[in-house]
Amino acid sequence: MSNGLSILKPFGERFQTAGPWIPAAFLLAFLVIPILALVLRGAGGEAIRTALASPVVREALALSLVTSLATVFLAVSFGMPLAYLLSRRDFQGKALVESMVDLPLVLPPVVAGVALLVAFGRTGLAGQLLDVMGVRIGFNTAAVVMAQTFVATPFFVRSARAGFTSVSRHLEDASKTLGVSPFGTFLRITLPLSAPSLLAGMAMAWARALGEFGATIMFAGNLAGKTRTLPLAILTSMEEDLDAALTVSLLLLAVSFGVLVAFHLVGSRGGADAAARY
Amino acid sequence: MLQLDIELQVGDFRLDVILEAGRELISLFGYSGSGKTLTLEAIAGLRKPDRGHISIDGDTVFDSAKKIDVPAHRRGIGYLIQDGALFPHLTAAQNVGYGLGRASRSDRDARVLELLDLLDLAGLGDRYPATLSGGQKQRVALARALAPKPRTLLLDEPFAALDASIRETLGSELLKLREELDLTVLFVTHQLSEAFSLGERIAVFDGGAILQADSNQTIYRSPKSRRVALLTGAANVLDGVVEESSEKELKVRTRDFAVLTNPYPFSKGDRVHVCIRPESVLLIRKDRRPSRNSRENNVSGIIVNRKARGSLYTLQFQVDGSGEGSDPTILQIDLPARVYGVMRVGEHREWAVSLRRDSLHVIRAEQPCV
Repeated sequence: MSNGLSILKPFGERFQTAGPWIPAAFLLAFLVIPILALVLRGAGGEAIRTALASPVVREALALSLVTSLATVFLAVSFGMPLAYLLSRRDFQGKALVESMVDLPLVLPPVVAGVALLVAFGRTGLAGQLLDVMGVRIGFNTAAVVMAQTFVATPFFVRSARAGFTSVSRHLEDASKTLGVSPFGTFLRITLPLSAPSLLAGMAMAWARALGEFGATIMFAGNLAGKTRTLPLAILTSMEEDLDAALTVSLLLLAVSFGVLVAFHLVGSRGGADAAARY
Repeated sequence: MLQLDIELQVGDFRLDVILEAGRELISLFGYSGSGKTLTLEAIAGLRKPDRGHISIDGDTVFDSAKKIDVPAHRRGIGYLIQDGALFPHLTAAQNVGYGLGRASRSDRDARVLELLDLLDLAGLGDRYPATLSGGQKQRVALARALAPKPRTLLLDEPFAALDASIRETLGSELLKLREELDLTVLFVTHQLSEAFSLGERIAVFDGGAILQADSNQTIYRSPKSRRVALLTGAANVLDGVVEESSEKELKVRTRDFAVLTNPYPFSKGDRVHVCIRPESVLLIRKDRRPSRNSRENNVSGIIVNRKARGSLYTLQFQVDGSGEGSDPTILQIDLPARVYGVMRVGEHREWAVSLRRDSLHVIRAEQPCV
């Protein structure tokens, strides 16, 4: 072609190789710097020890553990059957059910909190009925679990559904023709083979529950010992004890990082299993 | 003993099948999408027919009128599909023992060893499916299906993914097993040679129905309809009209020539199809007087195409004066490669053929159905 273009070409090529690195590096720096800052500011040995010794932090930690584990338990007990139905059966309104399950993923958590409040709060839609029956939800620990479950369960359902779908129907059929009941087949074939996805889903749901803030503060409030989970404790202590806030933040960061690592480990093992299958 | 008479609608596809099988291996043969797999799934209890009746060894496992529908895990049928569907998280031995849940541990172990032995898998029990070869996997899958001692075995293209030599070995082992264990075996295949070599009987599937179920000799020699003839490899099917019919013979005029065949119960004027298999067409040299056994129904023509297919040559023989070039009559001829060489078929274009009476099969032309 023309001479002008041949001069431009080396630059074009160089730009194509180097080009993507520049914005990518900016983004990486933007992601890493805050984490680094948090670690550097918070990671004084003495500060951590005092913060962990403070009853405020301990209370919040215990509450967070109890509520988030309860949330995972609920997500698994109710999410697994739903995930199985979504992966194996066709029924009317399936698309609608799917979007209802996915909705909390994109809904701002604060909105979720408001929605829960007008549904289950004392004057809410279902709350009035519950109130008559003597059950009061809202601004107590049960409300924390509900807020977390609302927000975190879809993570488990999505992952579990993908896991069930990855188990070939032929394997379940083979199991049934060998005399094993559908439930036995689920326990002995479907469950072990989708375990990596189930565990990954549990890890994600747990991490999401642990970090839940918006829905919790709207629906459950910020009551020490009752509804003040770790993220709420950060907000509270920001005003008086920055060290404690930093320590709690570090704690949550470590947990998130741990979940991520575990997720990758399980995920790659699951991948290897799937590859080894045939 | 298996009896079924079922109807099943899946989307636009309609399955309507009647079949009986004794203690034998019966090949379910047909193109993919002809309803073979659906039939097996219905028998196994993995798919519910809309209407009908299925019984296994005298026990009704499905009856739409009586609302009987025994679930798959209580039908006691062995079922094996193309990819084997071995459980990837269990060893070969655990796979084989999977269906022996109610047996005691020692009984189970003994039975697993017995089956691994029977299927030439001794020593492979501790291996996981991912580390087994394709042939070994199918053996394990077969052992697993046989472990609970089913009397009925459903095999859905079990060897399709394997090399030809392994396929042949496993096929003859299967025939031996069938006899030893006195099983009813339904064997789905879309390969004609496999259907003929394994099946004592063949059920020819097409468009969701069984067109003909007969011994493989009957299917080979006397297909009931033009469609069955074409599906089972009788590539040459000529339309004709009966000119004379006597107790001795039948004379049929096709568009380009007349042939004499063995007697059939047709009368003058009947519209018929004359079928001859490609391997039954006798090729003869034009410069020699035909020998005694190639004197019947001589037709001359030219070879317009030849294709080497390993041990066979497939020739396209265009009948002289047919169709004025626009729609010629072409006969397909399969010739063993050895004969092809000895006769120097490659060196000449003009040949004659003999369509021997014993090789010709005449069937009534169906009402044109669209």
